[in-house]
Amino acid sequence: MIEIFSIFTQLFIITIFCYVPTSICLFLKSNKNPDILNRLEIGIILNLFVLLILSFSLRSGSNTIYYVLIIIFLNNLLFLSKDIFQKYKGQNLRIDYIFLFFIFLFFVFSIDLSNNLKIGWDAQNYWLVKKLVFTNGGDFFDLKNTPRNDYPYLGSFVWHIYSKFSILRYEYFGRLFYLYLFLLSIFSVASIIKIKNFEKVMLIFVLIFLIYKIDLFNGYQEILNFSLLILLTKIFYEIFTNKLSIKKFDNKFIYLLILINSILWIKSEGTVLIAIFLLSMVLMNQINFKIKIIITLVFISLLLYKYYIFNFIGLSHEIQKGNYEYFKIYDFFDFVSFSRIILVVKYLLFYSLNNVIYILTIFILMVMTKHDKKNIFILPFSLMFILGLGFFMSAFLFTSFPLKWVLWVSLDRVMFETSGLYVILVPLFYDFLKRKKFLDNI
Amino acid sequence: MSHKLLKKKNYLKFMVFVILTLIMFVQMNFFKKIYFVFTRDYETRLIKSYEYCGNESIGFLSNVKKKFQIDHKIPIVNYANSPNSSWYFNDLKDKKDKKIIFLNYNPNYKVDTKYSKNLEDYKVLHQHNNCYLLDIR
Repeated sequence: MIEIFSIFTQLFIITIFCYVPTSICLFLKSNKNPDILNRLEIGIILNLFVLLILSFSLRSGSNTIYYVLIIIFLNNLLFLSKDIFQKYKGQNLRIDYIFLFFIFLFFVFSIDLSNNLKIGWDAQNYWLVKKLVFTNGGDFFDLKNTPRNDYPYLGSFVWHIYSKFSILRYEYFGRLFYLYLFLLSIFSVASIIKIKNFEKVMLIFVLIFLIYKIDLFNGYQEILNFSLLILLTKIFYEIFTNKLSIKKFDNKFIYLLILINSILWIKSEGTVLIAIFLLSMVLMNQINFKIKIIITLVFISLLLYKYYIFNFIGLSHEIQKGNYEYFKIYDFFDFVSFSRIILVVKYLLFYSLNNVIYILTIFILMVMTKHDKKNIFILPFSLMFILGLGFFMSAFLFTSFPLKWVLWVSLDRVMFETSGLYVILVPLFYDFLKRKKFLDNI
Repeated sequence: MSHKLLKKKNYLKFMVFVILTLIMFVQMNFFKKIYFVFTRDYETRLIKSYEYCGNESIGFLSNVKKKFQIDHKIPIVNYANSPNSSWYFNDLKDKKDKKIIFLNYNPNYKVDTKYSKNLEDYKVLHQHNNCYLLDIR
């Protein structure tokens, strides 16, 4: 019973940490009347950013950052109480059924997680080890003594913080944050189109049935980047549907850049995924040239800053240390041979069957290209998809490890992580079907 | 009439929601899992998630920890191709003694360790299949 109570308390703790007042929603997203999920969506990104900054100032044996976090928690709690009181006073206090559904799903999946406590292979070897550095009172200077010290650590740090800020302090309470972020990204992407609550619930069910597997939460970091990429495409959609935003540097871009920064600090391949996203965005004519330059420069600055911090801590800053060790340009055709390409394609097809998002993306892009030619989102998402495939080909063809083994153990995870860029196509397709009145006959 | 239709529509929506929820529950064995949260403690569920003596062998480590009242970290040599499970002892003290744990012991398997692979160099304190708690002679 105490564990069930702790799960609900954990839900409350994460919600308070991610709650933001209306003024921040207004500043970052020009949203004057945000609902709870809008607030949490912004708050969770700010929370990741704050945790990253705090991780820089964490020192061995010091509790200062935990006191700062307690102050943030109390501050947010105060804002929530004030908002509830104001709504109650104005007789505006209503039950948000979608948020109730969010709580319900969080509870159901938490129960699933509490019975599948096995941590994945790489998670035990690398991510958990980094988490334990912080749990044992270490700081980010101690990360250089962990295996694969070229990997970023934000996900492990978040894992540590949320298991520390829990009643029972079990390890999996930290991973409940991963679940929270995943659900929040699904709920956010389902609300990009204006539909009735019941339709929204059905759309969420569809997305959950397509994506959810308990193994996604076994400590691997892909689920974090997957969820953040969904939020990234959502903000991209919001910027493009608001014509004013693409003309001048709107505050939405600040939110976008904070989000990009978090992705860079979770997994090394996040850099490539962001590059794919930005390239697709920058190639769009609609966006102002100045904005393109600013975003590109800030992205490069964020990368350089990460490089600087890694150097400062003493971490390795090679991308995928050892993986491309033997690749030399004069050996190009030894790596890019017909048989190797066929092998990668074979595995790509095999894992596409395992990840329905890929099959759906191809189908949706084909249908929408034919029947919704004026839709401005077809081009960037088609480009993202093609660049994504190019990324898989190059990342695996140039590997120094035995190709079949690398494909077997990691292609599915990289494909899953990247598929976060395409999930938004499902609600967009539903909107398309509604606009074209395909659903009226059903 | 329209009120009745609205009621019927809402009832239908509710039924669709219930059916989908039930499908989800059945798919993930929700009722069994919630029962386990009530009846099994965290430690039991953790052990059940892994093999007793195989790969990480968390069950064996837990048994050793309880039976011998281990309060400090013991070096673990895992002979299987599996992650090192020393994280299981993370909350214990750092203290050196002569104890060592061999998991999935196989003398023919090459492992990178400073400890002798010959069991005759140790006193066996506890054994389950290929998992050993040893004392260095």
